[in-house]
Amino acid sequence: MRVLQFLIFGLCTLLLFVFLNHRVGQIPPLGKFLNPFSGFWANNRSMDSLPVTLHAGKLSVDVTILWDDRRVPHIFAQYAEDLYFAQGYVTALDRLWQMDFQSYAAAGRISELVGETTVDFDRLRRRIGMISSARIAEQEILNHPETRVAAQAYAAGVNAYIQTLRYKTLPLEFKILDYWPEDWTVFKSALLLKSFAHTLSFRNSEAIQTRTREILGDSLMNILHPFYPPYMEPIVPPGTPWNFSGSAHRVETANALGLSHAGSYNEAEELEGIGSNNWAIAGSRSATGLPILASDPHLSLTLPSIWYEVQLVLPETNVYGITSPGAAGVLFGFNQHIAWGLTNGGSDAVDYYRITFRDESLTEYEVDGQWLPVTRRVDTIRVRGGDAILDTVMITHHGPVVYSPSEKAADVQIPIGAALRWTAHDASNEWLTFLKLNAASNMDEAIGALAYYDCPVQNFVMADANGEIAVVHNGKLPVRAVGQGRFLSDGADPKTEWKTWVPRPHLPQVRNPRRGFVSSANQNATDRSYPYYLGDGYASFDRGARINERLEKMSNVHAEEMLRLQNDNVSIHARMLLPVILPLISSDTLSDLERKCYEELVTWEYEYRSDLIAPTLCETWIVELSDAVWLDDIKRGDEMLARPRRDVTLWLILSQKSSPFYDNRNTETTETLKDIVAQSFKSMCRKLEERHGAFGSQWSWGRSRGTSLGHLARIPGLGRYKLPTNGNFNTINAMSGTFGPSWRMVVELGQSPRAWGIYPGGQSGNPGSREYDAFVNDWVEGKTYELLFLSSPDIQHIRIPFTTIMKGNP
Amino acid sequence: MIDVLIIIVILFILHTITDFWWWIIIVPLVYAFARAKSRGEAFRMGSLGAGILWLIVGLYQMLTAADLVAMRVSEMMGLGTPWIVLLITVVVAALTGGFAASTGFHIAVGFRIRTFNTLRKGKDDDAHAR
Repeated sequence: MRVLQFLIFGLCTLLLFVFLNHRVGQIPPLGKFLNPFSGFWANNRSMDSLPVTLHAGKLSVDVTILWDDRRVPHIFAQYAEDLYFAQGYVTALDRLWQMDFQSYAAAGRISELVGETTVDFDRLRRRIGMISSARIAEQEILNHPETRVAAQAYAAGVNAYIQTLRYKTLPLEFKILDYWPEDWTVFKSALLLKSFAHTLSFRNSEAIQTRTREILGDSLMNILHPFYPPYMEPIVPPGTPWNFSGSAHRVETANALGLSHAGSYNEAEELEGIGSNNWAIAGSRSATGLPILASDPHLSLTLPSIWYEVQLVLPETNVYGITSPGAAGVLFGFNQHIAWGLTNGGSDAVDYYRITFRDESLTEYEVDGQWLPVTRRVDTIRVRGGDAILDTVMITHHGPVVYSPSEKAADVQIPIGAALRWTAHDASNEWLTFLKLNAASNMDEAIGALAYYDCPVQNFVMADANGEIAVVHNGKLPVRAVGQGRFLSDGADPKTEWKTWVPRPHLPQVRNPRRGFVSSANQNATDRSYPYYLGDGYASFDRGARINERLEKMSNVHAEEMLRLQNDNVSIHARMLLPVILPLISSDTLSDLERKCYEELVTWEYEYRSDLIAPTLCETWIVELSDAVWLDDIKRGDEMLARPRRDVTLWLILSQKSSPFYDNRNTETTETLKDIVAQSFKSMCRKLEERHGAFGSQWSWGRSRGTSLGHLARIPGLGRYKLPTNGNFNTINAMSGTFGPSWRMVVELGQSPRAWGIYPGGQSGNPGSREYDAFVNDWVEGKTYELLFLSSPDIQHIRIPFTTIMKGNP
Repeated sequence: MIDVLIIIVILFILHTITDFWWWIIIVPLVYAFARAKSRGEAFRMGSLGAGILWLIVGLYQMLTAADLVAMRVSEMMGLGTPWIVLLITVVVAALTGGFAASTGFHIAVGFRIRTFNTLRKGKDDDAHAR
């Protein structure tokens, strides 16, 4: 009896210990986690407190860190090593979990933290070569003294902070997911750079485009998916002469356009492009007589934010801006002499090559009539709470075969049985570009810095205090025949391989144009006269066109007008489309609801404002109308082919009064444009009533769409959801449900530059801090903060509440 | 009652200087091994000692700096209000402390440090106390 009782209570206690000490499924280890002394309760606002003095590392001289009222560190150091050490330390202090987690995600190691649910994600990251390309990038970083010093000092700073941690002070997400941070390394910083390349240049539609061409044929394809969009507002203004010829580098091949059969193929829905803006106006248009630069990169929005704000000061340089935790220096920003900002270039950096295997053993593949051996590499994916998975990656001279012919793709955009060629696989040192921009003192130096930058292709807009402005579509661009890379290429035909690159002096660029401004908004870099073909992954013309039409009318500009322009919500697309289709509605046949909708649209000034109902109507109508025009052409049985872009639909409706596309082939009658406009209008009203109930405030743009900043690891409760934002993906204030302006910055160049900025987040990565999402509400309202650009650590400023002195270890 | 107080004080000191949560197992177990006269008494001192301490400190956290994090954690767990998170915190501590102390008592019996007599005596004491 005694023994039994002992066993029962002993076993219960043991079970309690095991359960409360370990993560079970999604439940954190409750004993550790709920401990009110050191569990999640300790990740509270008191963690915001900053040290007065810090002893860390082997600093040559003391480093002074002034913290401003938005928790932005202003770091003053004598030597680069000390500066980047301190930057690593303070970034880890605020954002350690984010850095650590992002490095796991980039390398395909999430399953080590969360278990088997993410194995497909990890396998894909590894198969596309994230780890091997980061290894190459790490070597490049270490080979160059500037990046080596920065990367190593930064890593040492992060690790000095990690060494101070105990369970109590561990960031919240480590406690939720129950693991400890790894030491930071230069390799992890390299992974971060490759992660940017992945986010910005990996997207590709070769699989679905090839299939669509296979079904529709070339003539239909040229109408539905033209190589050059019907409307263009290129970054380099039309008419700019090219004083070189690209034709000598053209790939001469009969099969340059790629394969006409997709083979095994997974269906994919194409996303509407979303991206960033940047522009600079010359002194001729500004009130200060010197350039003003504006930059707002748009990305998937998360908490903690992808950006961390910082000022870095050395005796010879002084730079302010944002960087991503994990990268030393500043990625978007300004110094005393120059300012710069980036938008995604969109030029094609990824081609897929269909591999012809000799037999089912998949050990040899064909190239130019020869059989070459497939290299195999075995990768180990470790899985929390499960057995490690051995994954065999097949590698050809093109690159890795992401999915073998018998596999199912976890990412539907990736063609099966095809090898991946991606510029991110090649050696390059983008980080050096950023460090050189940080220190650049004029436009020549800034443009010189771009020579190190390959992938992802970006539009760099720059301005200097001497009055110069420029935009460069910059990166490593393979020389292609027109249309090459739109479809799957034949891996057996060496003529389809990339052989040369567009020489840097030939890159699309504009410096000090007569019109007094430069701009980019992810659209085509050039018109068709440019001697090289760069791909078709660009945003449509409308956002860029809106920026340019506004800038052209501006003179005597102040920074406030630039900030207002970043929040401009006018859609040129809607402004072109509605005056054509609204008159086709016979208003006497409308129901009550339809009449209300009609009235909203007739009086609308094409602004995507959160308090209006018209944007909700317009967006839904555009989708319905697109369905009415194209669905009978692109939906074949259960299969959906690539949907034509919005600008193609717009061109059709504006330019073709009658067209066979207007007819729905699935009905007996022959529909006209007027018919499908009326049908789609009615179905728009009906669908919105189903979704949002009776016509009213629930239909407003802010409520029906809303923007969410989800948590980086999708942990519920740690994000901000359904914020009533203005804007749409094709307005300057480019906003969608999960994407949006991740940083808005305006810089007035001058003797002492003045700048404004905001990002949707907060400096602290601690969800228990007010600083976690401190800027979010102001960001929703379109406000910005004046950025504190300090020149000396001894300054007394009302906005500097706190100072940390960082000393080396004795 | 004095036993509960002693457990609270010892736990408070250990929790403050170290980050281990499992003091709420060790301390009640050892204390009940040495002091408890019955299983009921053991369970009571263990659960009250751990539970009350975690309640007081959790409540203090929630009413001061941990308001935001408690709110977010309650959303994460799908609980609606942070008060339920506090309740779970207290239940975890009380249950763990109680079972650990009971185990400690039974170990003592196993080692014959307590006998059936004292076991019965303990029960009598309980009866007297009531």
